Parts: sequence; structure tokens; C-alpha cells
Amino acid sequence: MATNRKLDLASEQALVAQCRRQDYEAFSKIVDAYQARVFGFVRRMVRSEEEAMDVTQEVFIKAFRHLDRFDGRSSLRTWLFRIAHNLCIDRARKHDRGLSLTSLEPTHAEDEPMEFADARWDPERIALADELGAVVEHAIATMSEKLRMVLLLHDKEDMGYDEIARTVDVPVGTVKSRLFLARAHLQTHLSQYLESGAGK
Amino acid sequence: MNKDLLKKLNGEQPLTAEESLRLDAALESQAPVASVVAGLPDESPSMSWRSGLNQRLARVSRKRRAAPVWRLGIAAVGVAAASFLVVSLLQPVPSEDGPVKAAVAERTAKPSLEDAILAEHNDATSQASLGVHVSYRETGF
Repeated sequence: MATNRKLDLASEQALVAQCRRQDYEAFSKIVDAYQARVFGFVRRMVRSEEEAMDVTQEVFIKAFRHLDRFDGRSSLRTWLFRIAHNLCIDRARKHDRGLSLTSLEPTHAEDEPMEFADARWDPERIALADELGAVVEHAIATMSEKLRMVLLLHDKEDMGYDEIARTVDVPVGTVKSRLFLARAHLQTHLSQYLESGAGK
Repeated sequence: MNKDLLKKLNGEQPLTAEESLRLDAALESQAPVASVVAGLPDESPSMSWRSGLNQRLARVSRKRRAAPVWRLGIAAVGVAAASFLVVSLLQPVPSEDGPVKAAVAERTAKPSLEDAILAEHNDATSQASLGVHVSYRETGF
């Protein structure tokens, strides 16, 4: 099985330089390093695993073909995720899935702070609960692509606001707005699940 | 989070400095939700997926290697065509009458003044060598 090693900047630059000299093996190392992360992201952005496999292959084929366009101003990871983002958007359009934002109606009284630090949401406990994991995956799947994209890039891929803004091509303020709405959407689903008595 | 700010967030409208600060604070308070997402399991694509990708990459790689030879061939054909065109344009246009007619026309053409003087001189020289007087036309008297 291919590994999922992280590449440091120096080895990343060296690999890119080798790829530009038509070194096929060097590109294989890039695939090894990023295939799981790209696949994980794409899997949550498209409708099926089969489609995710297809799109992830497209991401790497496109990257291999156009590596000469990679100018090194952003990281290779940002570049790959930008390709993945564009392909996922194309797929969503093809399937006529609107990219409208999920409208979040306030469920709390005005100025009442939303309580996020619920003790039941201990990350370790949640990580162990497969059922809850399924709830989280479902909540992510039911939010709009715009929110989902930002949520996954920030919270799953650990990208910064600026990096996401460059990847998705929106202002940093919009990234923050979307991230807040995405987390709030997820919180609503989790609250419903926890209040239904599950996981106790 | 009040309704007005939530409306602005839903509409992706620009926020005031104060609202931005409130949003930052709200995002910080959502940290537990972020950790839930971070804890989601990673999935790896299968070996057959990787095998399929390798095959596709190899095809692209072969095409990329073949492309320079193909481009070189096109360039060579282009240069040859351009050379042929230049040579064709620089060649003298042959007479429509053909070489025989051109030679006859040259012989029957009216002699120029230089040709007439030279012919007269040659004629006079020949006559002088045979003991005949030089033509008055040549000496002028």
C-alpha cells in the first residue's frame, strides 16, 4: 500500500524539479504523499466512492500534465487541493447540484451565546463512536459544497484561512463566514443526535 | 450570535471590524466541533486504484515523450516548404518562346553601335592583312 508521508518543503521542491525533467518515479512519490488526503477530501465532496476514485485520479493526471504551471508560490498541497476543488465543483455542476449556501436560521434567542463547549463532545469519546462518526459524515454530506469545502480544508486538512482563500478563490472573510456556518450546521446535527439520547 | 450578523454571514456580506471580532470569537468557541472533523478517519484508495492511476500516468508520459519528435517532424516539413518557396521565387522566369527562338532572335536583332564599330574594325583589320586599304569609315578620311 502506498504510504501517506508528508513532504517537507525542500523535498517537495526537489520532487517537482525532477518531475519537470520527466521523472515519472518522482511523481509517484508525490502521489504516495498526497493520495490519501486528496482522496479523503474528494470522497466527502462527491456522491459516491466510485466517483471519488475517478476524480482523485483526474487530480493527479491533471497535476502531472500541468506541473510546469506550478510556480511554487503556493505549496504543492494547496495546488493539488485547488485542482481537486475545481474538479469537484465541475462534478457538482454536471450533476446539477446547486452551490447555494445552506441558510442557517438562528435557533437561539438574539444575543444568546451559542454553546459549543458541551462536555458531551469530548473528541476522544466521539472518535470512538462509530455511530456518531456516521452522524458527522451525514451532517457534512448534507451541507452545501461551499460550506463543506471550507470545513474540510480547515478542520480536516488543517489549512489556514489564507491558504483556503487562495484555494477556493474567495476573500478570507468569506472563508471565516463559511467555516462558522458549516460548523454551526454540524453542531445542529450533533445536538439533535445527542439530545435523542444516543451515545449515552 | 445575533440575527443581523447571522444574516450577513449567510449572505456573505462584508462585516464591520466589530462584527469580524465577534465572528473570530465565535469560531474559537467552535473548537470542539473542529476537533470532531479533525478526528474523522482517513481513507486510502485501493491498490487497484493506484494501479489504474499508474497506467494512466504512463500513457500520459509516453505521449509527452513522443510529442517533441512529432513537433520536430512538423518543424522540418515547415522549413522544407519555406525553402522550396524561396528557391522557386528566386529562380529566373524562362522565356515563353523557348531557347531556340531566343537564340535566333538574338542573332537577328539589330546590332548595337558598339557591335557595329567592332565589326567594322575586325573587317578593316582583315582587309589590311590581305593588303587592302583600310576602310575610310574606320579612319574617317
